[in-house]
Amino acid sequence: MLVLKTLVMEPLHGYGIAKAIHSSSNESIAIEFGSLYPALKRLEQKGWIDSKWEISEQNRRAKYYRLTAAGKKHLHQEHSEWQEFASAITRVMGGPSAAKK
Amino acid sequence: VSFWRKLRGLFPSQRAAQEREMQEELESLKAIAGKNELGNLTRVAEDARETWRWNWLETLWQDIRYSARTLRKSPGFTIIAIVVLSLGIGLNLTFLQLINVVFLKPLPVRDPETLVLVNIQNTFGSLTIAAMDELQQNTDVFSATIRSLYLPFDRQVTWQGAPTDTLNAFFVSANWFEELGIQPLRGRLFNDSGFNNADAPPVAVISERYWESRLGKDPSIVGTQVRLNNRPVTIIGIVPRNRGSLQGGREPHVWLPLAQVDYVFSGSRVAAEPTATGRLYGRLRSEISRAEARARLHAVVDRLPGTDLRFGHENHVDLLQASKRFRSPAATIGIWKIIGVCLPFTLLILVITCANLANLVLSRGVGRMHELRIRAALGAARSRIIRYLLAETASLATLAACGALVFAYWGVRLAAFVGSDLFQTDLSFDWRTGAFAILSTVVATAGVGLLPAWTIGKRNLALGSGDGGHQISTGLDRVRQRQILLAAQVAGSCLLLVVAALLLRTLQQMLVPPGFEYENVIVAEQLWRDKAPAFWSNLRQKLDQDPAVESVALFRHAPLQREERVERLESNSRVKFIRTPVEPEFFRVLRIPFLEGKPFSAADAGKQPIVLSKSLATQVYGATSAIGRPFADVGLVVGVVEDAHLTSPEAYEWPEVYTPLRETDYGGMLVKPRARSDAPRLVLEITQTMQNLNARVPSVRLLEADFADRVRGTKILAAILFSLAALALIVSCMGIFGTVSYNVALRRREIGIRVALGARHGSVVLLMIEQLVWPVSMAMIAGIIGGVIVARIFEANGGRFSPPDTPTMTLAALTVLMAVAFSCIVPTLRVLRSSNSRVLSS
Repeated sequence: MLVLKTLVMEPLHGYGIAKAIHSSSNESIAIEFGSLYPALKRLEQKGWIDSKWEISEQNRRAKYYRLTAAGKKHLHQEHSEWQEFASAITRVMGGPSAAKK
Repeated sequence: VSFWRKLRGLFPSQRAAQEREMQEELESLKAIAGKNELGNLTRVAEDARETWRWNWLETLWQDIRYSARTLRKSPGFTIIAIVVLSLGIGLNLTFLQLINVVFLKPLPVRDPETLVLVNIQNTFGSLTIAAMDELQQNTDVFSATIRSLYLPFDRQVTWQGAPTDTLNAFFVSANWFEELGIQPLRGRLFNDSGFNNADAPPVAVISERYWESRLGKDPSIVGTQVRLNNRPVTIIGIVPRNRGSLQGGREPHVWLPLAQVDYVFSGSRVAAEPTATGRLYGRLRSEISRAEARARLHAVVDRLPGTDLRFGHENHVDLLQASKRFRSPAATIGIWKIIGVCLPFTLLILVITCANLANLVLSRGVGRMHELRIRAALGAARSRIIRYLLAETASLATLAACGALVFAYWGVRLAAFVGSDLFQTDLSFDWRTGAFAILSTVVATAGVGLLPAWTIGKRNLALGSGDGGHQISTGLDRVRQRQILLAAQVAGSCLLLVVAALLLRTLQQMLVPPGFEYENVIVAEQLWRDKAPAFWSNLRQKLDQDPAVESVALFRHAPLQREERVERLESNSRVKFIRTPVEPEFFRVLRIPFLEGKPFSAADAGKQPIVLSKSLATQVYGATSAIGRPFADVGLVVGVVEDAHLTSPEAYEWPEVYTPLRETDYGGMLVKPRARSDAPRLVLEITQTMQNLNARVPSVRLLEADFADRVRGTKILAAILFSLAALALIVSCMGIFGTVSYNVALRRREIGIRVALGARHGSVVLLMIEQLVWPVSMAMIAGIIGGVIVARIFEANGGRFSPPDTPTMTLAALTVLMAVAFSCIVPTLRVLRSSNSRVLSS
């Protein structure tokens, strides 16, 4: 989900995705490239992302990944599921204080 | 999406492209990222590869290749395993294929659902051409009718005038091939109603088989003129094999239009012969139900000339469906009964085969602990080892399934050859056979491989790393499964052998000569009984004047045709007997010899004279003479004759009480020709005479034909059962030998130590045998009891079994004992003979 979310804004190459997640989570989530790369391949297999060779800002050739329509749909679905789950957790965690009132 | 990509990944070119692309990408990223930021790229690549490959598939392939190598290294085990399993699977496959061709495969005709055979029970299953005409003209239940006429065996046509080259001729109506949807292999078939006229140009079509085997596939045969029975006939086409006839038995060589019967057999009344089998088939109109059609036909049949109702049956007209291969419900039940008797037996053989092999594989696994431990030490997961062991069994099972297909191919043909009714059935394999084969491979793999793989795989393979796996081997050697498997195997083998031995005994009894001369005797019967005494006396008078006739005898029930009515003595219910009213000449005609006394004569009148069969006399009077003694209230014994199987050739009791024939009992006549060569001519003459006497359809035939009919079923069953019994014996012995000898091989070390410590060879052999005594003897007792129970169950389900007797049981038990002892002693001696130091260091 994180990878898909990162690609919503712009297409990125493998290393760029890792960096983007790292920075957008205020450096609290660090994904090792060793886990990220096979994950990218799996997402590509499922047809949620697409890849293309492009020239990077450093003027080097790199494979850029972008979100596909199916990927967008999936992200949307997963996002709402996550929100539901997260809010449920929040409710449970905040539960005792609510009961006291 | 992912599935197709993975599938593409199986192609080497695709795989290389993907690999190149990935390496390129990783290289480019390495240039962008900081040093060491990406971690171990080799590992990354390996993980990524999994996403487009089926790793399990590749390891499976590795396992299969590896197991193939291992199997090649132990050819003895591999060959035994494959052969035994091939037999086990092949037998079941043969049987399933028989069920397939007999029941499941549709008859190769157009619209088999609407095609029916008009079966009229009281005319011996056949109709004269006149009767067929009449039926056809008087009914409106069919949208079309087709007719066929099969001539008796001695009415073959000659080919090109050569008296030795005779062909089965099959006369059919002109619409035959068209209605059945049969296309010619070459040329054309009769498809023009003009051929229904007797004056149409004479034509014939021949069978593909005849064309191939006798005419050398001569391409110019179509259109040529040949002489059939010295009559010029033009061959217009060739019928593809297994088509063109709707009845079992001999395949026709040549088809001729029905209208040409009189042309080919000029001047004869061949079509009216009672042994010619005319058949009428019809296509039921869609709006008429089978029951209604039957009722309407019934009304027509009642008015037909020459049809007598034999027993006043209500349902004497039956419409048998093509979709059921024209089998009556009773015949279908009969076939299912045979299957019901045989299928459990073949399945039992498969189960025991699997148990045998499972034991062998387990024993082998024990011997291979060292190798498996190395694999485990190199990092193979337990599941991987189990999978590898299963892959080995699966390879065996697959090879065995191939062998089984070959076995089934010939097995089905053999069965078809023995049971001639199947000869024309299309025996080829179809998708169902394939499904059976795959299913049996899976079942065999599971049955053979699962238990050993699990038992070995669940052991802690890391254990015993110092002793070459010996500790685990010994541990496995002691597992209870091995004991249970061995016992189960011996018990199963015993059971199979007992059943097989009983079958062989039964066969032996079936093959005893019938005790009377059935060759060169004519049976004449008349189903219509009023005024019978006068009719038969007239016929006898006429035959007495015929110089070709040696003697005649009247009877009530024809030999081999009667229904058994077994009575029991009131004073001793164990004594069974059958009353058989006959004339005194009966014994002379059938050459049944007198052991004591003489046939009843006019002088005996008034004192109820009877003649007993030998076994009945012995049962009642023992060794003392029966002559002059009363047989309960049935009569006074005047003679004792040798046993004769008058009821059926395979009966194993002969409790005949022959009584004098009263006039009201006259049912038919036996005629003994002076010379054998006279018989066929006499059959025709007697038929003619009988027709002249009362113009009804008589049945005159050779007793030999009845005999062949009666033994055919038994012969088929006997052939099947005999091969089953032989297979059971082979599988049992192989299994026991394999297991016990492996058991001994595992204990080489122990034997070596014992010998080194001074044990004598004899005592070592005894020791090896001693350890088998308990499991084997318990298993044998269980097996024999089981065998007797199985035999009883078969018997209760219509199988014919001789009662279990001591010699049979002893024979079965001895065979198993010998197999066990042999397979224990031979390997032990081999170990003992080899140099002791080698044994210990191995």
